[in-house]
Parts: sequence; C-alpha cells; structure tokens
Amino acid sequence: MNNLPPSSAPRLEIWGRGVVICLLLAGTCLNAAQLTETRVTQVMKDVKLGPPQATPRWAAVGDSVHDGDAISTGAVGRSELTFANQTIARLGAKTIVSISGGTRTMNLVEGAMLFQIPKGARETRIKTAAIAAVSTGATGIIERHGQFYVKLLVLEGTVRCYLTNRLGESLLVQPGQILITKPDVTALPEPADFDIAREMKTCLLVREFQPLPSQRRIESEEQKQLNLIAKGTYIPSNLVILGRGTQVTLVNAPSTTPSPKPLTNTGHPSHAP
Amino acid sequence: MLGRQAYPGPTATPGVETEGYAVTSPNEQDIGEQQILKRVEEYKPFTISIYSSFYWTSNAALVSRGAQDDVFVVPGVTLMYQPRITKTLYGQVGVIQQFFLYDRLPELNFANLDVIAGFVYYLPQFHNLTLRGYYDYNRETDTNNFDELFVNHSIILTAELPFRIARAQQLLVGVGLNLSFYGNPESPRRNNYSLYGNYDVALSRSFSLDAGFQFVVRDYYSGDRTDVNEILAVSANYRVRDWLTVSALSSFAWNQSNHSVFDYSVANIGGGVALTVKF
Repeated sequence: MNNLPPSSAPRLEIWGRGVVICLLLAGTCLNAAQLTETRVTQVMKDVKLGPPQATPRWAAVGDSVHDGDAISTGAVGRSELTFANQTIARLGAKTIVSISGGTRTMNLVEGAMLFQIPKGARETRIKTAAIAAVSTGATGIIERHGQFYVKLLVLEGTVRCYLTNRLGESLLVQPGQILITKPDVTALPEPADFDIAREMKTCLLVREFQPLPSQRRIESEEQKQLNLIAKGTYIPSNLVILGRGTQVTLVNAPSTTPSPKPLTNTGHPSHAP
Repeated sequence: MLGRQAYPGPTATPGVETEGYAVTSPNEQDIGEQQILKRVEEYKPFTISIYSSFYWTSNAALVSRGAQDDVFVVPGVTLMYQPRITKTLYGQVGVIQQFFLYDRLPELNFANLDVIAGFVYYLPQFHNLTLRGYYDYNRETDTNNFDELFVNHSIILTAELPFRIARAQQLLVGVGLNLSFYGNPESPRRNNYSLYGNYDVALSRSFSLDAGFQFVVRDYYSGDRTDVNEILAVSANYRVRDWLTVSALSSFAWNQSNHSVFDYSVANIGGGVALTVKF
C-alpha cells in the first residue's frame, strides 16, 4: 500500500464503497426477484406443469410457476414449490394443485399437500371445494379426495378454516388439531387432536425432503403435546388413520384379537378390505 | 404396539370409495399416520370477574318530565361457582356487587348486591335448550353508610334457546320469570315477566358485536301499577387477552306505565373494561 501514489488511497476507498453499494443493490434486486416468482424447487419422478388449457409439460427444478398454472403429480411423483413469500408447498402423489390470485392462492383439486407458510408472511390461501384455509404463519397438511372428504392437519401455527359460500362459518385450527369434513359441507365440524410427533416421523413429505424452516417450531409443539400428555390433558388413543383417507384403524389391540379391524370415522367397523 | 403391523394393506384400487370413505391407496403413507389423541377437558367451576363501565345517560333519574343527563360509572365484581353435577346439570352459586355512582347527581348513587343459588340444566336433545332456576337475594343500599334502601327475595326461572346461524353467529331467545316472594319496602316490589333475545357475531377471533332486546312486563305488588319496559342494547367487544375485554356499550330503554308519572325513556352510551379469570 505504501507504494501507491498518495491520491490512490481515497480513490480506493471510493471504489470500495461503490462495490459495497453495488453488492447491496444487487442483493436487493435479487431479493426482489425472489419475491416475485414461484418456482419448482424439487421434482421426484412424474410431475407435470402448465396452464390448464395447454398440454402440460414435464416439470423441472427451477421452472417458474405462473398465475393460472396447474401442477400435477403421478402415481409415484412428488414435488415441491417455493412461493414468492417463501411459502413451501410439497405435493404428494396423484395431486393436482392450481395457482391463482397472484400466486397467493393454491387450489387443491385432488390429492395431498404439505404447506409451510413463513411466520409473518402475507396471508396465503389454500382453497379446496368450498373450504378455504388461510394463515400468516403455519405448517400443515391438507388432503382432498374428490367429493368424499377434505382433511386438514396443523403442525404449527394457526390456520383459519372457513367456508367460502357461508358467511361466518369459520374456525381456527390449532397445532395438533385435525379437521375432517365433506367438501360440500355447510357447517364445519369440531376438530379432533392428533399426535404431531408420530405424524412427523411417518410423513414422507417431511422425511423425503429437506428439513422444513419451521422444524423447530414443530418440535416445540411436539414438546407441548408431550407435556400435556404427561399432565393427563391428552390421552393417546389406539385409533390411527394410517395415511390418506378417513378410515380409522384400531391398533394396539389385545393379543387375543385376531387382527385389527379398520373402523370408519364414526367408530363403526368398516366393510372395506 | 402402535405400528404398521396393524395396517390393513394397500389392497384397493386408488380412487375407489366405499360407503363414503376413501379406501387405501399405494401412496397413502405419504402424509403420515395420524394417531388420535383424546383431550380430557379440564372444567373450571370458579369465575371471578372485575369490571367497570361508564355511561353518559340522557335521563339519570328515569323520570317522565324534567330529565337530566349525567355521567355515571358502574364498578362491580362477580364471584361465581358452577359445580358440574352431571354432564348436563350444573349448580350455580354467586355474589354480584355493583355500585352506581353519578357525577352531577350523587344523591342517586346506590349499591346493588345480589346473592344467587340455583341450578342450570342443559337439554342438548332440544336444540341445547337451557333452563335456569335460582333464588336471588337482592339488597340495594346507599353508598355512604350502606344503609338499606330495598331488599327483595325472589325466584328466577329462565328458558333459553340458542340458534347457531353459523359458527361465528348466534341468535338466542329466552323467556324469564322473576317472582318476588318478599320485599321491603313494598312499593318497588314486583314480578317481572320477560321475553328477550340476543344476537352475537364474531367478526374476528378478538372482536365481536352483540345486540340484545328485552321486553318486560313489571307487575307491582303495591297498588295497581303495571309497567311495560323495552330495552335495546348494542355492544362491540374486543378481547385483548383471554382475561381482558374492552367494550363500547349502548342501551336504550322505554317504559310505559298505567300511571303516566312512571313513563320514561333513556339512552345510555359508554364503554367498559372487564377482567375475568376462571379456575
């Protein structure tokens, strides 16, 4: 530095400041770019993307998802989308989701999806049939099967669930609560409670992807549930829904019972195989 | 052991539905297993509520002529014990103490004490009809020396029917009887026969609006006086915390009597704050 002419030092300082300002501006612009686009961030096997009126194309990581696009997964496909506000949506197999409302609304047509809406994000809406779920910070799973049922599970945060065709029919679904209803429902039922830890251990939309940014908050909710179980507020039942659907299976049955019998969610023995 | 050995197996065709329930599918494990937890509700029978409301009133003395407006505050405390006797039958024992303190007309100040004891019975099979029956000891005093102004013993019976319009909206209609069996002095002693209704809507998790009306026939024991009273009340409530609520309050009342000297109308507008703890 001592070899430099005396006038170089202030010039270097000016250049240095300029570089810092440019880096800051570039960072801001990059951030702005991130905030305006929804992208496909993971693809497993058969995943298709495209506007509904056009033939869908095979989706690839990095593809942009625009307003009006639909993304669908095949029988063994899974995918992850990252939205402009850093909301993450992980699609299970045989799932169709369309994007609307300036990419702030996800319409679940069929299948199952894990969503993680960052805390403090602008309200993100998930619609399926006449049911809408909105949040400004929550992680959960939503599933729909045709006109038969809609299932919503909340892992952390609070989700407001309401009927789009009925004013005032709205409820808050809290962490550890599961809501199962018909898609054409006129009154929302009371949610039940489920074990978050078991759900997290067995959910492939968690296990087969990167850890969720809300992982620590989910673990905190798991701990709260454990404390409530220890306190006796919750009693773990031997009723389990083993994945998708609404069939409740009786597990941990006495050994004299030949085999566990699946139950419907009304508690009656199921005739399904 | 909770586990996959209980799993009936992916034996059905994906997308097939049986008796309204989705059947298993080869990919059904992707959203994980949902073990149901049974919540044991902790019932809290005690309620303590401390509150204070303030009003501007158009007719402080409830007179037919020469009405004077004033401002008054109503601090109060309610202690209530509601033991659960059966799933639908609850006991109810409580003490309610309120003070009515006027700004420009302090001669109207009084304190009101109610001690109640009775039962609440819910009938879920009849649209959640709620029946209440309780004894009410009412004592009104002045606020300086707590000298007794009026004492009354009565039996109160009510029947209320709630109608849920949607989860966030409810309409309630009710009828009530307030039968006095002792009062001193005799002149204010009366039986009340009322019909009332209430509508409430929760606009958000913290903000709600309430509107209520009450139509009361007041049959006085002394003389042949009979009053008909109508009350309309509207309030907006904001729940700051589970235990803290602030409200904007308004009520309008009209009274018609067969003795025109008791006719009056009044409007009260104000606000309030309430702290309520259950344990």
